Amino acid sequence: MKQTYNGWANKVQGLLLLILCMILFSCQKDFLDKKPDKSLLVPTTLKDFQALLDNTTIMNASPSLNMIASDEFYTTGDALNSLGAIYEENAYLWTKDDPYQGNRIVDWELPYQQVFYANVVLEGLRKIPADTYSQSQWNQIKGSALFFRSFAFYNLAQEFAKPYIGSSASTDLGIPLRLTSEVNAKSVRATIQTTYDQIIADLNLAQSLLPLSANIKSRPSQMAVQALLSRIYLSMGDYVNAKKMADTYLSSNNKLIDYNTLTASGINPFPPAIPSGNDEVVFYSALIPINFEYSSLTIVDSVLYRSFSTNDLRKSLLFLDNGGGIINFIGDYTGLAYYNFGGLATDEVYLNRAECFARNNDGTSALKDLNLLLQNRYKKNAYTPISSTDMNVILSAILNERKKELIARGTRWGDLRRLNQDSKYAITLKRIIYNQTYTLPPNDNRYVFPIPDNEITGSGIQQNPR
Amino acid sequence: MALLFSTVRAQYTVYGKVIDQKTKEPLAGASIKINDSQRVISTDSFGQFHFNSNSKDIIITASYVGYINSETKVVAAMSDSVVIALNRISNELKEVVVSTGYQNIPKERATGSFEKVNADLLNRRVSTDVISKLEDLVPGLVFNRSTSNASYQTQISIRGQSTILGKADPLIVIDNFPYEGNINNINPNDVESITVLKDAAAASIWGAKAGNGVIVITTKKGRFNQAPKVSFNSNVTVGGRPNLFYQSRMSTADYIDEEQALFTKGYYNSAEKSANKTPLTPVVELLIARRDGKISASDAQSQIDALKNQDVRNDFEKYLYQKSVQQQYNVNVSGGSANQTYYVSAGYDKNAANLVNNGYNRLTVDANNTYSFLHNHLDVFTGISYIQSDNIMNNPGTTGILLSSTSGTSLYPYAKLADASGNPLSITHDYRAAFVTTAQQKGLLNWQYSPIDEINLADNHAKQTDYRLNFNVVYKIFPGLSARALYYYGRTEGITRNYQSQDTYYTRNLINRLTQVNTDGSLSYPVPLGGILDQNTSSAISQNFRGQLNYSKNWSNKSDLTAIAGYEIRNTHTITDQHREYGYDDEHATSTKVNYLTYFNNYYNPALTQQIPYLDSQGDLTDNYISYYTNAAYNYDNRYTVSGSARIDESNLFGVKTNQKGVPLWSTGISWNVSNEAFYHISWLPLLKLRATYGYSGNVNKSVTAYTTAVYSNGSDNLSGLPYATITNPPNPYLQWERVKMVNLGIDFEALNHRISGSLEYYHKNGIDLIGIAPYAPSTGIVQFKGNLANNAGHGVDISIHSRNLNGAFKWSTDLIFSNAVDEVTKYDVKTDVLSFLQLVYPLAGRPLYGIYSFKWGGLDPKTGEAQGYLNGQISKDYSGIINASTPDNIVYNGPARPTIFGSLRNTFSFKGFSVSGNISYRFNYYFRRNSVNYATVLSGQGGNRDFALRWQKAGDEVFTQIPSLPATNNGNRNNFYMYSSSLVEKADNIRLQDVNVSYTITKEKLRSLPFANIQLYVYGNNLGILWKATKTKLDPDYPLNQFPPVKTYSIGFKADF
Repeated sequence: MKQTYNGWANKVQGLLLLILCMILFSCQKDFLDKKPDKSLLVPTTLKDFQALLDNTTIMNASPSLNMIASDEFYTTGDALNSLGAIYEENAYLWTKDDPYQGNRIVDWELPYQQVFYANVVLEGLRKIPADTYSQSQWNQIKGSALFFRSFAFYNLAQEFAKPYIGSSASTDLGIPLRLTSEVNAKSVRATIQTTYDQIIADLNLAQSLLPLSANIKSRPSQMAVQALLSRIYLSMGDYVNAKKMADTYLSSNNKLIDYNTLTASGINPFPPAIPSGNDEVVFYSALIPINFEYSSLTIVDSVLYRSFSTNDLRKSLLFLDNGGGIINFIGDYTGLAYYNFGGLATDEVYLNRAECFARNNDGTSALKDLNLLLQNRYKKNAYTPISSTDMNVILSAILNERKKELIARGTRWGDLRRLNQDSKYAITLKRIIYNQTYTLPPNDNRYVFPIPDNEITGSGIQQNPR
Repeated sequence: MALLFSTVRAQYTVYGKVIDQKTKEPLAGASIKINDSQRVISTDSFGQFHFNSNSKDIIITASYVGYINSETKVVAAMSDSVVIALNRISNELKEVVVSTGYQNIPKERATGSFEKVNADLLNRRVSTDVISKLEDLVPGLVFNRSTSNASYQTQISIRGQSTILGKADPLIVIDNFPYEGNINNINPNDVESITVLKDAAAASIWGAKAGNGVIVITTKKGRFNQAPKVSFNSNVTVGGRPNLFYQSRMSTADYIDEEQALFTKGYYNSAEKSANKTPLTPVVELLIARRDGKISASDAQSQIDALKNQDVRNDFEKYLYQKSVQQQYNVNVSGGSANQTYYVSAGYDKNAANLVNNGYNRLTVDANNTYSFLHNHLDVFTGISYIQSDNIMNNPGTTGILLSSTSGTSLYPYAKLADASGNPLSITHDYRAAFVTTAQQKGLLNWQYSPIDEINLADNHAKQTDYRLNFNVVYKIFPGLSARALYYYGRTEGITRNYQSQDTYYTRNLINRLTQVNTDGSLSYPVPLGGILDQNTSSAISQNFRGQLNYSKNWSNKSDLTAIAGYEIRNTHTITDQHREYGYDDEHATSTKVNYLTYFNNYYNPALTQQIPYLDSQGDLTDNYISYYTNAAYNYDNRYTVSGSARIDESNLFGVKTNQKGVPLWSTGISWNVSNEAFYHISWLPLLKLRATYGYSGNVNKSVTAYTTAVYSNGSDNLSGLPYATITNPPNPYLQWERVKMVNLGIDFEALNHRISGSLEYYHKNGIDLIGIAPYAPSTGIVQFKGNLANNAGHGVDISIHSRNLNGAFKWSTDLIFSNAVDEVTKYDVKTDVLSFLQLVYPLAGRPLYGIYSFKWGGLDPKTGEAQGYLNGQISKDYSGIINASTPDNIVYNGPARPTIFGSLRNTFSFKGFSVSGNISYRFNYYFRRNSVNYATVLSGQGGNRDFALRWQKAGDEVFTQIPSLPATNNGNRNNFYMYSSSLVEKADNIRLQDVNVSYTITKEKLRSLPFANIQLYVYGNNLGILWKATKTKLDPDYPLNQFPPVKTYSIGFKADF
């Protein structure tokens, strides 16, 4: 009996040991390396990096508070109170004291998120050297990341730093130039000069890496770089380089939409810009959604609206007359309702170049560009080309058309800051709300938005004077 | 050889077992004195023992604390196994055996902090689930009433919370293995006992998951040598209708007045002209009609006046809420022969919830067997448990009934859900009433919304099927050493099926929104006619294998060693699948293909385009663990015990370098049974035991990784149609596991002839490297950072005292539980602005994890009624200045948000078969913030708190009110200042009569004609009311922000044993 018992015991013991050993030594390493969630990834491949840059919600968005603060739209006191976002109300009234009231400001956060994504990609690329097979994709991703970072830096500089003024650029405070994804690295504000130097250097490098054009307009291309550089140089008052970039751009893409091909039906007449529905769009970006944009009482500035002649197709295509003097803007180049276009397009490049010609006293060339643009905007054969030799007349016409053509693109604020430096074009903005008048004189401190409170608390960078 | 053989032949092996005479429960750790050699051995955790002897006739004496010694004569050759049944000295003095999930330990020899709750006490409370039965029974264990986090299994904290973002509730173990399914599905009738492991020595055997304590649930098993026993239990619980008027709300008349004022100011102009057909309330519509001359001013006024008497909460109570009814039935059969036991149980629960058309049904089956082979050398245990539950969710409650679901504007208080005869009525919802009517005339589907119809049309069930299989083998290799192999397979299959027929508002609305008007005027439907079916399935499979060696040895009657060591591997694999069918025909189970890619113009605003919502998604999660553990305890002469435990856990924590995957955790403890010392002669204190432990346990947080991680999204939502990825975690190369260090000192005592017993414990704990969230400067690219940012410290006292005050025919006993738990964040490297601090409750160094803070209140300005605060020590109304000058450190700290002193007092009276037991619970020293009027909602026509009526309106009002005046325009800083001011902070201290249980038991001994062994009838009432509270408001301080506090429930039931 004892024997049988021992035999049993041995068998069971052996079996137990076997099971133990099998589990202990079989696949322990794989077992602990298993991904806890299949949808998670540590971005390491070119495909991963491209996927990060293709996140349009994050990468293809531009600041929008500046549009509220500009002079393209107005609203009523009641509508302002019902906006439901105190920082939007304060942006509209250029409130001096604590305009954000502790709120988070997407205009600041989202561009820096773009910078972070770009930095993650740029650092990741360093770890995977390109081979001949992947070189062009590697270049394209690196160029894209540099473009996105520069566009974000530029957009931030338009709201949160002073305009570029050559004489003081090396002392004026710019924005923190984050060039690493290390979140514990300290943020410090660079000077305006360093800010623009970084942007321009990165864009020049990007231009050498990117393909000429992109099939999907949410992705950067050489032409997008040229359009952006043209805008940046113009904002710096560097008309030579601005013209050079516009020339390069227009030599490969000068196509304008003939508005006679569009029909006015009370809704946005333009097809979706993504992937490639709008011939003028070269790079897609949408202004960050704000309540001001959605309000039915966000009304186009009446002087601006009246300045469109009846033969101007833009008057019926871009606007919707809701009666009672309420004119709403509907003609976003995004091709989507309630998504204002904040990207780059050919019409802007024409206007950039026309202005550069005029600034260089080449009135003929300036008018050639302007008239070409407007011919595509007016009813067929109803446009009388502008002809003048008075450079002031020409420049005024260009700037006037610039304001009309680029309505709700998020560029007006930058233009105001730029033009205010020349007393001839400087204007004082004015709002009347509940019979109270609010003004924003040229070059006022309030042309620079304060840095959001959570940034000041978190990094302690210097606040803008207000 | 021959000599050896004969020696072996001359030996007799005696196998035996010591059990309780009455309960037949095995007695682990009983002493067996053998007369032939004066040897003393102990029984193992199954109450079993064996020894070798040279003589054939042996007399053994079994002894056990609280039991009468028993002398048994054994004829070794004659019997396979002896069973020694011991009689208790008195009923209450019973040796407590606690379960750690790895081994059973006699509490007498434990060094750690264990709290055992047996079935009798658990059954005192009537409930569908197990966990709520623990309330008020365990010192140091608190239910966090006001907060609820659906992702946790329970709302329990044991000795305060030792993590910030990790799983904050205790680890739940059922019969040796962690249970991560829905704990509410476990049938409480199958639970034999619950052991709560509170300190490091008790819990550290569970390693990295035990930082918040462990709750070990032991289910019922059959017993050897027990005649078949049938038990039946059934009860019905009825709960009252909730009080929807609990939260005070602005009166309808005030609401309408405010709407009129806003209308005059032109507030609704923008919405009225909106192309989105923004819904306007009936009053605003009436005002528009009057303005436009469509109705006369007097008609408008009389219609508006009529609405002023309406309050939609009456309709909610009447049509959407009801009394809850919970029925519970359970039957079980158990028994066993000499080498086999069985337990089979079936339970059925049927609950109708407070919300009409919601409910919960559950069927549970539990069966287990133990087989003993080879002279008790091999025990095999098999257990199978099956649970099927159906959670019916046809009524989403009233908080989701809004004026506009897109903008989230709240419902107007004068909405009418039904007419005088109870027929459902439609309310304005999502679009303007006129638009809805016109659309219908143009051929669209009915676009009306009636909340009552919705709950009748809904067909939304969440069903779960849960299987648990247990297979344990224990093999005794030689005396003292046994090997155990345990395998557990758990599987939870869940399916949530939400069928929204074409009659439901959701489906009609989606079809209508996307309806396209063709050029010839005909309509086409991108979202096909028919129903919408959403099905979410999930399957979670958990497999565990454990190999363990148990060793116990006794030397010379004095020294006793028990030790275990083992290896454990655990894998949990969860797969989820969500999908939606459009145009679903429930009768034939067919659906229609849709075009997910095209942007369709919205019917209500053609300027807006929208794709058909695509909700399909899949998930695949894996949780892997490998652990090594050991635990040993050495006892000398029943006086001194030293224990130690160590464990290493490794897991597949994503991205953490391998060398940081594992976390070694350990503990050690000592205890001294002073009353067993020869010098001890305090007769009124017959038991005195001192304990001390020290050690580490841990917490798991899988939401953080060391590398930059991203998550892929499929491209269909994206404009470009390309796949894209979103970064979810910035890199954090310094990531570590969270650890919790705890010191525990305890005294166990029994006094006055064992009439008073209890324990007193002091603990101190430190959370180290806790993962916290810090707001980051947005320029870094992130606004929040998760990392090992925090340390915390906590200490407290747990006291439990049990007293048998009267012990005659009329019995009276008292059980007192007292806990003091104080915690403090010792390190939190975070700078945050004061508003996010107040709104998001970041921890603050030097304060408890959950605290209430506020702006110092300076009363109302007697001239304007505006709230006043302090800026640079001066009374000020510069709200922006006050907020900007405030930091988390310099605002008022009112006190902790969770009670630091809490406990219960239970008195039980019994006379013959009658027993009455009442439980009073108390919580002290904590605070809450109450709601008050928020002028942001008032000035957007959405009403608010009833405090509005009590606001400052004219000079002099400041004498009796602290509620600021109505400002002309909304001022965010003014609102924030008031909402977070000290004037709205209240002391939460309260004492409540939690529950009362009355029962009557008849036993067969008393009544011979009874067809049962015994039968018990019982009545139970729960949530009976607040006896005292510090706050003068009518709020229940534990539920200040809830829609309503828990309702009173009453149960009646009976239990019978055959």
